[in-house]
Amino acid sequence: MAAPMYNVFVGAETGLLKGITLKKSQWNNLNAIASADREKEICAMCWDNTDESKVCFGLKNRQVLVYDVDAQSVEDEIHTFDGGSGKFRALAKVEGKYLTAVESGLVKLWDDDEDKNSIEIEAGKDLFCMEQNPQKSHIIGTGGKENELKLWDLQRHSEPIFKAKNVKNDWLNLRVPVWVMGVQFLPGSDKVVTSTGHHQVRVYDPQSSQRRPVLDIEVDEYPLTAISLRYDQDNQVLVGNTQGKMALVDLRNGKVMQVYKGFAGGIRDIKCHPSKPLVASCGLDRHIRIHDIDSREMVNKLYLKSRLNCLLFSSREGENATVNKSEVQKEADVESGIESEDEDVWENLELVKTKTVKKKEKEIVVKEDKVDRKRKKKKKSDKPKEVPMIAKKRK
Amino acid sequence: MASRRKNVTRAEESKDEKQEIQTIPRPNISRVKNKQIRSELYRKMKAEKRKEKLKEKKREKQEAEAMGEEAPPKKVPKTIESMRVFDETMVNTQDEEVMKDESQDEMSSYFNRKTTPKILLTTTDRPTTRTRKLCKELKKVIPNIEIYKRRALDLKKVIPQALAKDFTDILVINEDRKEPNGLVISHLPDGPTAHFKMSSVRLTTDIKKLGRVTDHHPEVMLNNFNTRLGHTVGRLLASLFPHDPEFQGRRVATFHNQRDFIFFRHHRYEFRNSKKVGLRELGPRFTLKLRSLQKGTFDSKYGEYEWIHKRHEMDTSRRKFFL
Repeated sequence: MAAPMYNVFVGAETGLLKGITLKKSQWNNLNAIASADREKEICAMCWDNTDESKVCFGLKNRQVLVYDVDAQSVEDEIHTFDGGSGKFRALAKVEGKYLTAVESGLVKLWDDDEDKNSIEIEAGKDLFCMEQNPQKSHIIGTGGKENELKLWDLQRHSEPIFKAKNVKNDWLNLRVPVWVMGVQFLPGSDKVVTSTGHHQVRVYDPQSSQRRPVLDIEVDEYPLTAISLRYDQDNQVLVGNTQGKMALVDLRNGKVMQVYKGFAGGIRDIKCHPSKPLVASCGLDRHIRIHDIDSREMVNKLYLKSRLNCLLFSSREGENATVNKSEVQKEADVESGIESEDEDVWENLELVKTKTVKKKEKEIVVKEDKVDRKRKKKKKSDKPKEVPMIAKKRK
Repeated sequence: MASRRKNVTRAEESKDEKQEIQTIPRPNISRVKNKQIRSELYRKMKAEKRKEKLKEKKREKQEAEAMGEEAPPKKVPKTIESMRVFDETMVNTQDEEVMKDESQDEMSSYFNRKTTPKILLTTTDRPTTRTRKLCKELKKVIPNIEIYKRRALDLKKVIPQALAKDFTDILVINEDRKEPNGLVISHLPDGPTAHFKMSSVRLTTDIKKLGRVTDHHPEVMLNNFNTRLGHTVGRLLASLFPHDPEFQGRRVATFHNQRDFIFFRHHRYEFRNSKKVGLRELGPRFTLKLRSLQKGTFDSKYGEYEWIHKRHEMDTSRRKFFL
C-alpha cells in the first residue's frame, strides 16, 4: 500500500498527533494510543524546515518530539527544554535551532552547544503567543495578558525593537484591558496583526510614528483564540473565538466580511492553506473542519475523538493530488478560455471606447449611410454604458 | 347541490370501474362547501379507511399463521429515535482512545475513587418559594449536599472559596418569573460547567401518592448517553452521587436521556418477583436540556466552550440529536 499523504497534522489534548488525508477523508493517530497521556498534551507545533518534511511538536511536560513525515514515525530523540514555568505557548525553528516560548514569558533560542550562550528574552509574564516573521526569521512578536505586543530582534535581544502602546481610555475614561492572544506578521510590509481576548483585531505598523494600533476592530463578543493570515489574498485575516464563531476580517475595510458556520465549540487553532483558498480549523468540539474561504462551504469535517489544540496545514501535494492537478489545469484552461473570450469582447469594444475615438475609427472603418451611422451612434452611445456593467459582472 | 350530484355520479362510476381498476382516487371532500355534509363525508371516509385497515391486518395475520415459520418478520414502525441521523461521535465502548481520554479527564478523580462528592447548592439571588422548596428536596435526593444562600455573590468569587472548603461541585438553580428554569453544574477543581434549561418542575407537593425518602445512598441510572458529549454529561451527573449505592434502601435516581431531553426521576423500587417491579415516586421531577458545556469552572465570558447549542444551525433536522 502506498504511504498515505497527510495534508493536515493536528495535535490533541491527549498527546496524540493525528494526520489527516483530505482526499480520502481519513485520519490516523501517528503515535501510539497507549502512550497517550494528559501530561503529554501537545501544546505547540511547527514545521521543522520550509520543506515541511518534519513536524516538531511541544508537549506539556516540556519535551519536544519530531515526527518525520516521509519516514512516518516519531524520531527517538527527545529534546527537553526547561527554563521558565508553565507550558509551551509557541514553538519555532530559527536556522535549525529551537525557539521556545513558555507561559512565564521566557523566550529562548536553544543552542546545541551548551557552552555558547543561548539567547534568552524575558517577554513579560502571562505570555500567550509568540510568532516568528516568516520573511525575517530573526524578528519575533510576543504578547499576553496585560502584556502588550512587543517585537524583538534575536540579534539585539536586550530590548524590544517595537513596544506597542495601549489605546486611549474608552468612553467612560476607563483603561482598556490588554490581552494579546495571537500575533501574525503581514507579508510585504512590517505590519503586525493581533487578535485579543477582548474580541479586538488590531494592526500595528512599527515603521509609522505611532505606537498605538493603526486599525482596531471589534469582532463579536468573545475572546479570539485563533488567528490566521490568508496567504492567497492579501490583507485578509481569519479569526476564531471561544464560542465557535470563525470570521473573515478584511484589514483594508476594517470590516468582518464573512462568518463560517458549523462549529459547536470553541476554536483553538486556524490555519489557511499556503496557496489554495482553504482553511482548516480545530477546536474543543473534537472536530476538524475545512472550509472554502470564499464560498463559506464546509468542504470536509472529521471527528477526531479528542479535544484538539493545534494544527498545521501542509502545502505538499501527494500522489492523490494528481487528480487535483488535472482539475487545476482544467480550471486554468477554462479560465484562459474565458479570458480569451473576454479579450475578443474587449477587442470588439475597443472600437467603441470614447466618442472621439469612435468617430475617427468610424470615419476610417465604417462607410455607411447617415441613417445607419445614427443608429450606430445610438448603439455606440449605448455601448459605453454597457462597458462598466460587463466589468462589474466580471468581478 | 351540484357538488352533491357530482359526488353521487363519481360514486356510481367508481362502482362500475372497481371491477376494472382497484384503486381510484377518493373524491375531494374539501371541495364540498357545506360543513355538515362535508363532516359527514369525512366521517364516512374515515370509517371506510378503518375498515379496510382492519381487513388488511386480519388478512396479514392469517397469512402469517398459514405460513408458520416462513412468515415475513413483523413490521417495525418508524419512530424519530429509529430514524435518528447517524452520529459519528457515538461512542463505541471498546474505543481505546475514548477510554484513555476518559480515564484522564476532569471527572476521573471521582471515578478513580480519589475524591468523594461534596456539593454546594445555591440559587439566584432572592429566590421564591418554589425554588427554595426545590432546593430542600434536592437536599434529600443527593447525599452530602449543603445549601447556601446566594446573597448577590458573584459565582466567580464563590468558586475559590468553595475550593478552599473542599467542595467538588457547585449546583446553581436559576430562577425566572418565580419558577426554577435553569441549572448550572460546575465541577470544581477545574472541571466542566454544564448549563441546563430546566422545565416541567414538579415538587413533592405537586405529585400525588408519594413515598417517604430515606437516607440511603441512591442508585444512579444514566440512560441513553451515547455520544461523546453525552458521555461527558453523564459522567458529570454521575459524579454528584456517592460511589457506593446502598441497595437495601431500594432508592434510585434516574437520568433518562431521550431526544436531547434529560428526564430526572426519583423512585423507590420493589421487586415483586423477578419480572415485576413496583415503583413509588419520591421527590421532585424535572426535565433538563443541555444548553452549553464549558471547559473549566464557571466563566461564561472568557471561558472556552466545548459545546454550545446553536438553535439555527443545529435544530434544522427533527431527527438529529447531540446527547
